[in-house]
Amino acid sequence: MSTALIGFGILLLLCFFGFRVGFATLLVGLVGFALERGWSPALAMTGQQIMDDAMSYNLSVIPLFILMGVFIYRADLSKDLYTAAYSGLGRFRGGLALSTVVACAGFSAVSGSSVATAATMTRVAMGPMRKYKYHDSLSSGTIAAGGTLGIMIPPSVPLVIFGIVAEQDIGKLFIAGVLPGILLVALFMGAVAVVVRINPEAGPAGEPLDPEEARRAQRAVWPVLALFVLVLGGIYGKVFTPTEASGIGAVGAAAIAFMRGHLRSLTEWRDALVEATKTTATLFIVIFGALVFAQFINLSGLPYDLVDIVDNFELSGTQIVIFVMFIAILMGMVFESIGILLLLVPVFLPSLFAAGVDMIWFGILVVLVTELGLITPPIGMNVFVVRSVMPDIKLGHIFKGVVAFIVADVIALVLVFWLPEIATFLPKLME
Amino acid sequence: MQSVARAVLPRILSVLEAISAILLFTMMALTFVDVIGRYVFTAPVFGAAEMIQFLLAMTIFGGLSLINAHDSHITVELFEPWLQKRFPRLQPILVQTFSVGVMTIIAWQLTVFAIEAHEIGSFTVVLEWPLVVVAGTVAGLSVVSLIVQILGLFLLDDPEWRGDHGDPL
Amino acid sequence: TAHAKTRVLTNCFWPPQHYMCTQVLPTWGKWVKEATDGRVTIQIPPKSLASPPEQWGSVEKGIADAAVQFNGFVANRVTGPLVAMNPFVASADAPAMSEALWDTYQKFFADEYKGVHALSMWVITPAEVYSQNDTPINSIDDLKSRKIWALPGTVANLMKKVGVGVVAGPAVQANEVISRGVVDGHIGLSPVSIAAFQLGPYTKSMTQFKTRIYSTSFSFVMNEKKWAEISPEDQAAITAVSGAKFARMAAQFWVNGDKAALERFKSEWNIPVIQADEAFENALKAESKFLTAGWIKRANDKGIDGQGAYDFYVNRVAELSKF
Ligand code: NA
Ligand code: NA
Repeated sequence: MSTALIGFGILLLLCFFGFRVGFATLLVGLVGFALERGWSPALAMTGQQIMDDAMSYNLSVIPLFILMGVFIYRADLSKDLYTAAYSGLGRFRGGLALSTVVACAGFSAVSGSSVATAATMTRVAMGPMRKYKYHDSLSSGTIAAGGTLGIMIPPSVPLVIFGIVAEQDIGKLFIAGVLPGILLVALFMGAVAVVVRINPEAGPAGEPLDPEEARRAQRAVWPVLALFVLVLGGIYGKVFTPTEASGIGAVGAAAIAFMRGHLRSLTEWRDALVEATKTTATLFIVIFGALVFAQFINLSGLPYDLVDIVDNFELSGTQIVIFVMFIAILMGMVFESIGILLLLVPVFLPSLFAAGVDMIWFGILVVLVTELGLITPPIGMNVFVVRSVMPDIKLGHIFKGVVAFIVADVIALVLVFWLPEIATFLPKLME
Repeated sequence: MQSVARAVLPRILSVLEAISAILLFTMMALTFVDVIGRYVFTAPVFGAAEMIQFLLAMTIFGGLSLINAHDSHITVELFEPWLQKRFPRLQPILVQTFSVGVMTIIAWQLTVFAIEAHEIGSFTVVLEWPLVVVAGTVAGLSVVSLIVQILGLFLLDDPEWRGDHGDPL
Repeated sequence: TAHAKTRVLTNCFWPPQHYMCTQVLPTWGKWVKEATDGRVTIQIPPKSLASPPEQWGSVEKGIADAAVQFNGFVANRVTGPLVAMNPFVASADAPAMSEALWDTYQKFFADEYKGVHALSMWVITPAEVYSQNDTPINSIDDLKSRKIWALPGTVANLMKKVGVGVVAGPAVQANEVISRGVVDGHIGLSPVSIAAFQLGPYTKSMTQFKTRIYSTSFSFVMNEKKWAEISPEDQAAITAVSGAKFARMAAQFWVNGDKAALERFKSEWNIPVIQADEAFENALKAESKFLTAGWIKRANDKGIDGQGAYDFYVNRVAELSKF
């Protein structure tokens, strides 16, 4: 047990001092494994593990869903989604922020990434909100938080990764994300409402939209909805596997982009494909590192020690889950979502299984926590993304703006925790 | 060396970009054709799943060369800015040496894996292709990733060249 | 004796809740511990150290000390144990097949295991033929009109020879293909796997041959150096609780699993079990001759008496099988 904890300690230090997360994780795992089994087995294990995971059928959904997100990003849908939402919500107090949340949800339904959602929405929604004199903290906070919907509303790359680490059905996890996603949208809208209630100046109402403009924007919603229904419905009805769904989704997203006047040249195709390949590689180097590290943890005895602790103290499933959530929230302060899933879940997997925890429910909880991590200080990936698009906003303002949404996230976490059916009801219907 | 890197690297990377793009496109197209073939023509592509697996591995290592060259790996930027201020020369050297070292291990072990696959004469499970063809390509791409990573080191001082730190969704 | 305690890191590539990881290997560990008075113990890591095809390789390289290898993945290393994976040599009595395989190993191909020490090998309950539509599969013509998911290797190759549209893939991916209506039949799984992979709802009938179409064999191997670390006295003690004894114990779990699964066939999924027409069985047997001939040739090339080993295995299975 102690070797594993020392390993974790060294890993955190290396990461904090700027060593690249994937490489650091891989090396610590390799050395830890070598101390237990010798150098040449450790090196051989590393090669085997990487080759194996690089050729994993289940993991092949990741690049395809990333590609789908890139195509959607390039389809320039976000503006129309925003306008469509505005046509319904703009005239209310805080209406532009409410529209932002809804548009984020729409974008999330066809993209598996929270960063892409936040980046695209910053470009679209900041301008109008500034025009109507929204406080920067409310507008940027809304976008940073709204972006996190990208990984809860399916498709979601973190849910795919959880499914692989915990050996759970990815299709069921996606379906399980639907209701919590809707819940989050409602809570985020509630958060906006509360903020503008306390401080009406933070988000005044907008003017009504030209009906022609509204109708034009609303037409853009249909292809998005159709693609979402095709991908999710296909998975739900077991018409195709998640990998196949991701391929269909990518082709569908490309079609939408094409219809909207994009992806008309070879250069555009190439740029989109290269971008998706790069994101894929960035992710996989962390995945490789984490899987090598997980083999070190596997030998360290830590997972079994935790099972013993659970036995000795007669801990219930919910108690372990609370404990894991607590650690995940701490990790979420500095780590991005994938790192948390990959490092934390394998350690607790045997004790979670032993305690009979519903792993679909647990997966949704973990992803909710990692969403929280994307907006909490000191390192909140989505906050940074908004800032990188709008460098004139102070970081402190954005973090101030996300507070209301952190509260909303925590409420969602508590609700899904007390009412697991929010996550498990839909996937159970699939059986 | 810096001028050599500046001259050579963009050309190598543009070839690698084209390769990665083609691989990922093929992956998407194959998935799509397999599904359509199955439902519309009741003719699935034999071994489609396995081909997708191979394409995945090649796409990853094609893409890895692109991010290695620009060092756009995911980092936790907690103490890094502070350290860079205090040890402006030492910190990057340590970090880059570390990255290159680990990448060397990866390329070396994947090469060993491919050689063994050849020596034992392993075949892929479904298509029964020689495993060395796939493993060898992947290992080759990992060696290329290492080479461009080292070349990229000479350009990292150039803020234009240096990539963003990761795009972790 | 003065020998220090030896801990054997024993890998289990099945999911952690599978009886191989929770019962079979731990039972063997208990036997080993008792037989060596606690000098040799085993440790099973909570998750597999390598993918299923890499078990043998990971034992050779010392990643694990001992592991179970599905022999279909190591056809490039060993030919002998694949005798049990020939078409139409299987019975339903898996423990009997397992003992027969162990006997055949000792008599015909004991020299073939190089780089690892063979602790045991066993055969699991046989694969059956399943239809996914209302017509049970009971003729070559019917088979030809279908798309079939088949286990790679013997079954997939036989189906291709017959002219069937084949979707082949590892057993763990069977659910992906079968539950989505990609195919209208599947061949290669035993009833226990139908239950384990949750395929009951997608399966309409099962066709059973008198001599079963196919079965799967596994090797249980240990790192040679690790084996050499153990004293001759303890080696003998371990050998006594491995070999045929271990093989029968392991195989019995599949028999029990099949029994429970066949109960669910009746009570839960309404899957009738149909006996194959003799004409169908004979026709398929005739089509499968090339596979057996191929195995015999490969065995001969390796210096094994192929025909002799094949006949010995078939006779021994017939002799030992009680059902
Ligand atoms: Na999404
Ligand atoms: Na954070």
